[in-house]
Amino acid sequence: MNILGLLDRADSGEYSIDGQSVSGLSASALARMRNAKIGFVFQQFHLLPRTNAVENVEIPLIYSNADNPQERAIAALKRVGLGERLKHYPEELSGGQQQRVAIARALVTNPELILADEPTGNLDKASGEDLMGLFEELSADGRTIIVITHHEKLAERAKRVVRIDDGRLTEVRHNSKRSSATPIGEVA
Amino acid sequence: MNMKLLFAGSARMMVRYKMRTLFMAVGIVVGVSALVFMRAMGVGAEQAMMDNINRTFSTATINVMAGGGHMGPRSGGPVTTLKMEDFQAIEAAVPGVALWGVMQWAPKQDIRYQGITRQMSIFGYSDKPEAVWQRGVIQGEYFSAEDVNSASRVAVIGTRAAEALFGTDDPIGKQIQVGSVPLRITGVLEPQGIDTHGSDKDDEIHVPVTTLMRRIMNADHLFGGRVVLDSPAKVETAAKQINTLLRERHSIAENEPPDFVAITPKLVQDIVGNANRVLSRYLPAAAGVALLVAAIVIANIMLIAIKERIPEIGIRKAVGAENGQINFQFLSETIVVALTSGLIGAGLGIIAAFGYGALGTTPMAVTPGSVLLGLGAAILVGIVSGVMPARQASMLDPVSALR
Repeated sequence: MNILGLLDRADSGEYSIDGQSVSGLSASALARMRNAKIGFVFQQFHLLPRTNAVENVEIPLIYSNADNPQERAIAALKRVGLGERLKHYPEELSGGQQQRVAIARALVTNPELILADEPTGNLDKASGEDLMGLFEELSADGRTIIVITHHEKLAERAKRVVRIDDGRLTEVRHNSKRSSATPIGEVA
Repeated sequence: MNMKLLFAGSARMMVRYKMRTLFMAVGIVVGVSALVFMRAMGVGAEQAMMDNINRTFSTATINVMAGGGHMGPRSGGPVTTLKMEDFQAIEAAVPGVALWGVMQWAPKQDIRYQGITRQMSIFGYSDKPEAVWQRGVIQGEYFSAEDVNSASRVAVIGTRAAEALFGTDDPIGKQIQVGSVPLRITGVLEPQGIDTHGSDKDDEIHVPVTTLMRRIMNADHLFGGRVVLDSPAKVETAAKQINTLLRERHSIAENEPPDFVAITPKLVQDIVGNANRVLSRYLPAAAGVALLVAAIVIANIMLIAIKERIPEIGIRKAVGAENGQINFQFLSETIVVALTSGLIGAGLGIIAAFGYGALGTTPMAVTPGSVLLGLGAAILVGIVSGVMPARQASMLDPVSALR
């Protein structure tokens, strides 16, 4: 997950994103690539406290040079169904709503890849279902979503399942019910 | 990098973490306000002193005093070598002398008037004191050149002295007594208040210098004199010529110290300026100590804050902040706090300076330079205290920061 998200480097092997090998890139180049191409969703949401929804979603735009950051942040929050909660602080939102803010933050730079690490781990069942619904919608828009989970049932909703047991890749399966997606990242 | 968003974020952090900001701000507010206030006091004292000097000592004058000290005779008794003839020689030999006057004084003489006795200083001057010494009379007349030539028994009196001796009566024409010498009052001196040495210039009497020397002191030497030149540009050259001339007249060898001193406005300003440096430089330096403490406190608070904000730094890095951008961001937070506190401190310092100045006891002068100095110090504190914590924040590994 950290290697896919360009937060860590691989000890061995090769990782290419969009056809570009990342092993030779500087820390700054990796940071720029994270900003432009990858959106993160974490199990613990990782929103900034004392910072409202719009301000949280704006954070990635501080480091890019996007025009109208506020409008983009509001549009992203509307996309995840939080148009009514723009000025709310994380403490005032439910777990499901906080995770939606986190997804809006992942979406705001319009990345090709969204990496979600146990996104439903801290949510109740209904919120988790809602969230997977949202991911399916985003996937249908043509975005690649990689969800890391221990939840077999959740995994069943993906188009492609890669099983890793104790650090070893044990299964790669295309889910027959869905059309196969084109992967943009590969782990060797 | 979007600077507007970045600074908005820094300002937001400042407002939302109020206690933290307050602790960071206190040292700078105190330090900067003290700095601005003390500078105002120092500069005010300097200006007041310079005004005083300029009022009594115009830029085209040289004071020639007996003795080798800067402001008067050296210890070990009066020097008796400076004579009226020295000044006549200066007038003849030094180009550009427009006017000159001489001076002698006798401290604490018993002055009697109809059973009242009062101790006062008697000053002897030559004529034209308005032009030479910048002090005339507000009533009656000063003594004339004729009075000086003939050592007339006349005097002009200070306002406070006149009130003490004559009450509300008109002083003009009154006869006072110094020892066995009777003096007739012909005028009342322009009030001048307390001088820089602390003596009351309104509690003295002036007589022709010849009267003081011959009739009261029985002496033929002068305390000093003043040479007024026709242009301020000639002062330094004339002072050199006076030095050469008087050394020659007093037979002083090359390697011996002189028995007189020629004081130019520049020399006075240097001496006074040195004295005032204590006020205008060293006192504000004490405020600098407060700012140094503030810098240490801020650096500590920022280091603690960064420990608390490790997850935040992880998030920022995950969403694409480069190390340099994190560094800049945390530094900018410290600088925003420091500059804001500096502005508040400068404002308080200015208000305090004007308030204290309005009491009228101490001259205060707030200059733009002092305010800029205060703000510059605040920004410097922000940078110095922010660099290390910001660097530490930027070096955090995002993976462990997010754990």
